Amino acid sequence: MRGLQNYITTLLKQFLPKLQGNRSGLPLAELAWWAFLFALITGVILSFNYRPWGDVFKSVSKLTGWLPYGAFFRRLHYLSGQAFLILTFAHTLEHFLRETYRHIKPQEWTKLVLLFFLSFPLVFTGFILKGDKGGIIAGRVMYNLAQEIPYLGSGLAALLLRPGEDFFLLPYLHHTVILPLVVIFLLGRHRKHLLPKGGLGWTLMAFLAFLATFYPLPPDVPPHVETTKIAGPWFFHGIQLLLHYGPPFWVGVLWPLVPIGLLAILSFIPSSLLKWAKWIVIITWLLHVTFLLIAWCLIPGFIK
Amino acid sequence: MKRTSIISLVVLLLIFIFLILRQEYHYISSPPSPDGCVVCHEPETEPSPSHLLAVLGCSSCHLGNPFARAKDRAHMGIVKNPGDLHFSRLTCGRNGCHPDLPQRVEKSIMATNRGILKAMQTLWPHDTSESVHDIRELIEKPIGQSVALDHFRKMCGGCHLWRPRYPKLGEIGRRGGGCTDCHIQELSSHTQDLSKKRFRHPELTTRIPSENCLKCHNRSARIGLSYTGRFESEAYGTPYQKGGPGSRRLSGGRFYLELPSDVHHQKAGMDCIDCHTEKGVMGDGKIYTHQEEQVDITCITCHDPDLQNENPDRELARRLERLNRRQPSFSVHSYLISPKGSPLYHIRPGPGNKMKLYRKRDGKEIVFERLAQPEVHKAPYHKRLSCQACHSAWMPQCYGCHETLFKQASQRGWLTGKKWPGRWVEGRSYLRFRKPTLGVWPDGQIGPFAPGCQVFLETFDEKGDYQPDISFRSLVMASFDPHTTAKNSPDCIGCHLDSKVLGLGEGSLKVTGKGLNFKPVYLSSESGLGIEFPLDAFVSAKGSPLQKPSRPQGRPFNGEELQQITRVGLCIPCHDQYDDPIYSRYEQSLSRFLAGDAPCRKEVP
Repeated sequence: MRGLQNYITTLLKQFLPKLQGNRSGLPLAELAWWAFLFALITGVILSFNYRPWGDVFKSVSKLTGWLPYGAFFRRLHYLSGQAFLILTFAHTLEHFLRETYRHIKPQEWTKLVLLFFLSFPLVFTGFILKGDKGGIIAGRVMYNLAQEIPYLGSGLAALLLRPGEDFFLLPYLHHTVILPLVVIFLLGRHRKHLLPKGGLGWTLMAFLAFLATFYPLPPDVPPHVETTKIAGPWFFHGIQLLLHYGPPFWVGVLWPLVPIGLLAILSFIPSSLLKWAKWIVIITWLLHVTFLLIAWCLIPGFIK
Repeated sequence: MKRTSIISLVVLLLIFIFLILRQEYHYISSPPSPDGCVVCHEPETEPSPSHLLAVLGCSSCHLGNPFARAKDRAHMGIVKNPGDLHFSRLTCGRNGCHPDLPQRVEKSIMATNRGILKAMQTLWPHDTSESVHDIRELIEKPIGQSVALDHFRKMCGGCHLWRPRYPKLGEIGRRGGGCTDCHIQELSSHTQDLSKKRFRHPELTTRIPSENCLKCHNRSARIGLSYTGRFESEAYGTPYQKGGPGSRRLSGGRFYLELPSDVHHQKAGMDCIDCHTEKGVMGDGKIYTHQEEQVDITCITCHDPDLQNENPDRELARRLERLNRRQPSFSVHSYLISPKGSPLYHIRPGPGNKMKLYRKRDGKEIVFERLAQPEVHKAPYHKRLSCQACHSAWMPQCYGCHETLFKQASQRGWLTGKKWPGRWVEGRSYLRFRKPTLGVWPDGQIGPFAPGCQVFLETFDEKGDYQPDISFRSLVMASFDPHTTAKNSPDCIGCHLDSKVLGLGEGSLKVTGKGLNFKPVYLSSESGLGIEFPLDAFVSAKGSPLQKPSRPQGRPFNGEELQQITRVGLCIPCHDQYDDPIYSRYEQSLSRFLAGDAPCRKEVP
C-alpha cells in the first residue's frame, strides 16, 4: 500500500511540480473563477435570445444558426462551463493530494467540495437547456432519479423539473439564477477577493475563444429523432452505463454522491482514521473513472 | 502588463478580426421565413394549395433542424417522405394538421394486411405458435419455420402502407410510403437531383388518381385492372403486333387483353375515390380483419339511397368539399351518407328519380337514375342476390397456383430487404375471363367467387430432395366484387342452368329426375394435379363442397339450393318474364305442376 501511494504521489509530482509547497504551479482556483465569469457573461448574452418555453429546440437552433455570433457565444459558454468544472475538479484534487483538509477549518474544506459539487448540476442543467433529444432525455433521467429518493423524492423532483409544457422552466431557473447565485455566494466566502485578478485570465480567455472559433459543438439531435443512442454529459456516462444494470436509486443517486460526500467529510474525520478515509475516497473516485472509461472505450457504440 | 497577457490580447484581437471576416458570422437580420431550408432549397412547385411553402415551410413536414446552418446539422432527423407511417404522427399527423389520421391509417387493412395474413395462416398448414396478426408484428418477429409466413414475406409483402419508398424504377418504386402512397401525383421521373437548389416538389392531392390504387390492386383479385377493362392474359403476348408480342403490357412483364370495363368507368369515367370513401380506405380507427369489413360503400348507397337520412356531419362535408376544390357548393342541397357515416358530399339528389354525382377529380356532373324495375330488383325470390351476382359482366379467374419452394436458393424478403434460404417460384394452370361462379358470401348474400388461391405447393430441401411432408394442396375460392359492373345482367337461364355459375364448373349439365348430371370439360384426373374434380368446380353436383371458401362463413350452394335453382331453370324457357304469374305464386304453381294440373310437360321433375 505504501509503495503504491509513493508511486502515485511521484507520478502526480511530475504534473504538479510544486505539490509539496504551499501553492501549486498553476493558479487553478483563479482560472476556475475566470472560467465561471466567462460562462456567466456569455450566458447573459445568450439569455437575451433564449426562450425556456414553447419550442426550445427551435429557440436554440435559431440562436445558434441565425443570431449574429450566436454560435460563437454558445461555444464559448459551453467551453467556459466545461473549463469551470474541470478546473474546479483540478483545484479540489490538488488540495486533496496536498491534504489541505488537515490544516484548514472543516467548513472551509466543505465550501470547496460544495463548489466542486455544484459545478456538476450547473453543467447538467445547461445540458438539459439545449432542448434537443439529449437534453430532454437528460431532464427526464434527472427527474426520475430524484423520484427514486425515498420519502423526499417526489417533492425534490418537483423542485427540479415539471414535466409538460414547462419542462425547461425550472432547469432554466436553476441554471441561470439559483446555482450561479449559490456559486457566487460560496466563492465570496471561500476566496479572499471575490473578483479575480488579471493574470492568466486573458490567456484563458484567448484559449477558450480560440477553441470556440474552431471547435464544433456536439450536434443537437432534434427531439423527434428516434434513437436509442443518446448520451448525457460526458461525466455522466459511467452512471448512464451503470443504470442499465443496477437499481436507479443506488447507482444513479447514492453512488455519485458517495465520493463527493466522503470528500466533503474528510476534514471532520479524526486524524487516526484519515489515512484510510483518504484511500476510500481515492478508490471510489478511481471506480468512477473506471466506469467512465468503460463507457467511453470498452463498449463502442454504447455512447456515440 | 505581463508578457503573457499582451500575447493573449493579441490572440484575442486576431480572433476578433477573424470572426468579423468570417462569412458564417455575418449579420443576418432574421432567418428566412418560415424556416431556413430555403437558403439551400428552392422548390419550383408548391406541394399543394393547402401546403404552401410560404406558410408551412419545409420542416413542418420534413422535420430536420430548419435553423441549423451546417448541412449535417440541418439534415439531422430529416424525413424525405413525410407520409411514411414511421414518421407520419410527427409530420402529417402533427397537432393542427391531421392529428387523427395516422392513427386511423395505421389500423387500416392496407397498413396491417390482416386479411391476407389471416387467410394464409388459416388456409395453409401453419403452426399457430408462430402466428401474427399484422404486418408490424411480422416485421419485428424473427423468421421462423412457417411456409405461409415465408411466402408472405417474400412474395406478398411488397404492398402495404408501412413500406418505405425506395428509389426504384417502375411500379415497385411507386408503391408504399404511407400517406404518400395515395396522396401524391407521381412525378414523371422517380428521382430528382436534390443537391440542386431548384427542383420539382411532388404534388400532394386529395383528388387521388386511380393509377395510385392500381399500382397495388392489379394482382390477385385484379380489381383495379378489371375496373379499367384490362384482363391479365397468359404470357403469350397475343394478339401479336408487328410480328412480335403485343404492346399491351403490365408491370412484371405481364400482358393484358382489353375487355369491357366497369360501367362506372366506361360511361361515367369515375375514379376509385368517386365510390370509396375516406373511412373505407383510411379506416375509421377500428381494427378490421377483412377488407369487406372496412369498405364503406355499397351499390344501394347511391342507387337506392335513403334520402330521408339526415346529413349529420356537414362540417366534415364542407371541409372535404373545400379541399377538393372542384365541387359545386352543396349549401342548398343535401348529400348522401355512406353506411359508416362518411359524407358523400359529391353525390346529391337530382331532379325526379335521378341522382347527381360530381366527379371528385374534375367536378364533372354525372346524372344517373335510381334503382328502376322494382319487380326485378325487389323480387322476393331474389332477395338474397347481391348486386354483383347479376351485374358482374366477367371475372378474372386464375386457376391452379403452383408454388415451388427451393430451399437450396435464397430470396430477398419484401419487409426487411434481407435474404435468407428459400426461393419461391410461381406458376399457374391457366387464366380465364368468364362469368363468375356464384356462392353464398359470408354475409349470407349470393355473390361471385373466383379462385383465390388454389395452391399446389411443392417443397425441395437444401439437397434438392422433394419434401412430401411440407408439400400440400389448398384449393380456395374467394368471394369478392370483381368490379366489372355492367348495366345488363345475364338472362334467367344464364344463371339457373349454367353449371359454371352454379359452381359446378364448365361442362354439360343435365337436370334429371334423380338429380343433376354434370360432365366437366376439365378432367383433373388426367391432369396429374392429384385432384378428382375440375379446378373450376366449387361444389359437386350433389352439393358437396370441393374447395374451401376464403371466409369460414362463405360456402358454395348446397344440394338443396342447387335443386331449387335448377328446378326453376326448367320453367324459364317458357316463363321468362319476372312478372310471369307463376313466379308471384311460385309454390302453388310448383304444386300444380308436380300434380300434373299445369299445362306443361309432365315428365319434367
